[in-house]
Amino acid sequence: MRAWRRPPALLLLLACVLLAASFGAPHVDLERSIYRYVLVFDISQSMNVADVSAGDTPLTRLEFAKQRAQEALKSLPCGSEVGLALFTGHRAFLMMTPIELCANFSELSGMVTRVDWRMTWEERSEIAKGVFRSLELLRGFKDSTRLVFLTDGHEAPPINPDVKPAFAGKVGAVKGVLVGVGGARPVPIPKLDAEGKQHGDWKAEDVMQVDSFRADENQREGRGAAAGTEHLSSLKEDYLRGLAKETGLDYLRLDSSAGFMRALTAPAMGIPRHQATDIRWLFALTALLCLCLSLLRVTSKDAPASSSRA
Amino acid sequence: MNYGLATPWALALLPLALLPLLRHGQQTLGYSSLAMLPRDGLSDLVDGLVRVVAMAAVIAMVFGIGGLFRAAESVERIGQGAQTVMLLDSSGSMDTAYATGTANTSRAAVWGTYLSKGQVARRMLAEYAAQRPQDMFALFVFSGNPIPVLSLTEKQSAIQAAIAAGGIERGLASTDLGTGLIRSLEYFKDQPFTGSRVVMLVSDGAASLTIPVQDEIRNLLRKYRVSLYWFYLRAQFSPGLDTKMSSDTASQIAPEQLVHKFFAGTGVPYRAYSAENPNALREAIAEVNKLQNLPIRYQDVIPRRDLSARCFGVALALMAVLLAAKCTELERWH
Repeated sequence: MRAWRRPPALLLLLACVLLAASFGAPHVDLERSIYRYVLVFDISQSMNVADVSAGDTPLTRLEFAKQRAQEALKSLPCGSEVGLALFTGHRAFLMMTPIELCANFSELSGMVTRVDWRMTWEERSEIAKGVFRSLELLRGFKDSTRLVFLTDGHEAPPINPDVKPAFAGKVGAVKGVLVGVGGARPVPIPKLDAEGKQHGDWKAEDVMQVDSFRADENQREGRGAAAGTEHLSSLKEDYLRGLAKETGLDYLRLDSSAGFMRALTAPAMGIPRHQATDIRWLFALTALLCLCLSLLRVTSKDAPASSSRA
Repeated sequence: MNYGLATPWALALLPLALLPLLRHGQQTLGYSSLAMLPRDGLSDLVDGLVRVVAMAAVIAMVFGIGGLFRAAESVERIGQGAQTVMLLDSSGSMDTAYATGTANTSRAAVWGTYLSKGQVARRMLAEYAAQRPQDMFALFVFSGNPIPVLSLTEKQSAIQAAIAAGGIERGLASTDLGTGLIRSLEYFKDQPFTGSRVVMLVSDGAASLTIPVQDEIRNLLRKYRVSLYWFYLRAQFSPGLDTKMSSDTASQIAPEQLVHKFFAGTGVPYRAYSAENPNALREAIAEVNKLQNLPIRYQDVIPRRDLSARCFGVALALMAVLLAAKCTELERWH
């Protein structure tokens, strides 16, 4: 048998062919999950309550939400797309349509850093309407996008239980997660000026304790302002759970970074996409096996290795 | 420079590199008395070389399989661009129909069925930014409160996404042109002066500026040596910027005329472009091109580069050497 036709030589030849073929960019089409979100930050005043903490330092709800979002930006895989929006009043204001995370990391991270309650354009916080309209906004996007809405669930003014805002969209058409931020105990909401300095807290008589319809009714009939605890704020978990159920979203209470990441990368949050997946590694691995096999092959047992001739 | 592996567990294959030391894989021949053969230095050398080449081939393949890459790095570059802060009016008045358009489009009142002033504005800004890829842009949106959307960056993907975002839904409530302008000028606060700073105001100008606000704007424009360009979007029934009417009348029906007058008197380079003029965009770009540009330094990020193809290339070359060596092996003593 000629030297090049012996099995070890053929194995080496095969390895060379495989390595050469890897330059033809071999790939297979696989279905993969990619992530595309719009993060909506509630910037209404109740988010200034400092009743959450990361480690030992107390943080306001907004700071805590921003911090967790920053950590998520660092942990999400490259290729994920992130957009940002602000919520106050009755709607979200989109600041950035989703863009690739890694290439634009410093821009996205900088934008999250600058999110501030002072960007507000309305001193109301109608969360149900905000969530519904955000879902409508995302439904209009060309590519399917998941909603991540960070809020404490504090409606201001309160909702009239008889005429709740109703979700008119298709349940589950846009998936996503409502993220609850805040503590369970009702605490006062700080009154801040434009420089961020605190001037006491919001008092019971400063805020609407009932919805505007009932407030008007009370005034007409001379009943005086209703008493209530709307000037105190806590995380309204049951309310947000209800909203999530009504709209087909998930609910998560914002706590650890790992928990937030798990919610963001849950199977339902992934967007399936056919993607050309590189399989050069498979070619190279086979070439590597060929090389190893060619080394392992021993043709003659009686000759010690050191005396062989090349 | 930092290197890394996309799939680090591929390193588990690395011990295979020891295999050539344990097994030579060469054709062996029986010989009656090995002890009688003298040591042959050349043979030992060739044997050693073949083993080293095989080891190197294994290592190259393992790094290729692992997806060796050079990490993203940040480098300082020197550019010639201008620093432009785009200041975009996002008040409710920008949602009304833009002056030009057919009767069908401009009379419609249902959002989404017509082209609003804000959408025209964003389209213009997007086009402008796309034509000046060497510039740095920042985006500021102002309504009741100014919203700093994007600070100065040269990344077109981020700039275009920020411009597009606000045009999808309706604008916000009120207009506070003064605060918006003041806050956007503060973007230049810690930036080195590079010779060309532009604030590009895109607004229908339905706002009035108080005297103290006017003073502050004038001071900041001069202090930061900013050129001011105003893309003016005329509402359907507005008389525009350049009609001659008394201040009283103007403040009643066309407050933008007073704003225009104030800008013209600030002493900094100022131009107003009417968006109705199809050449406005080209004129503005020509104007910015004329500005004296000093080189600006900026940080650019070179994205991660995949080096696995190089690993496979090296492995292929080494394997070819091994194959050649294999082909020269003797089958039997002649």
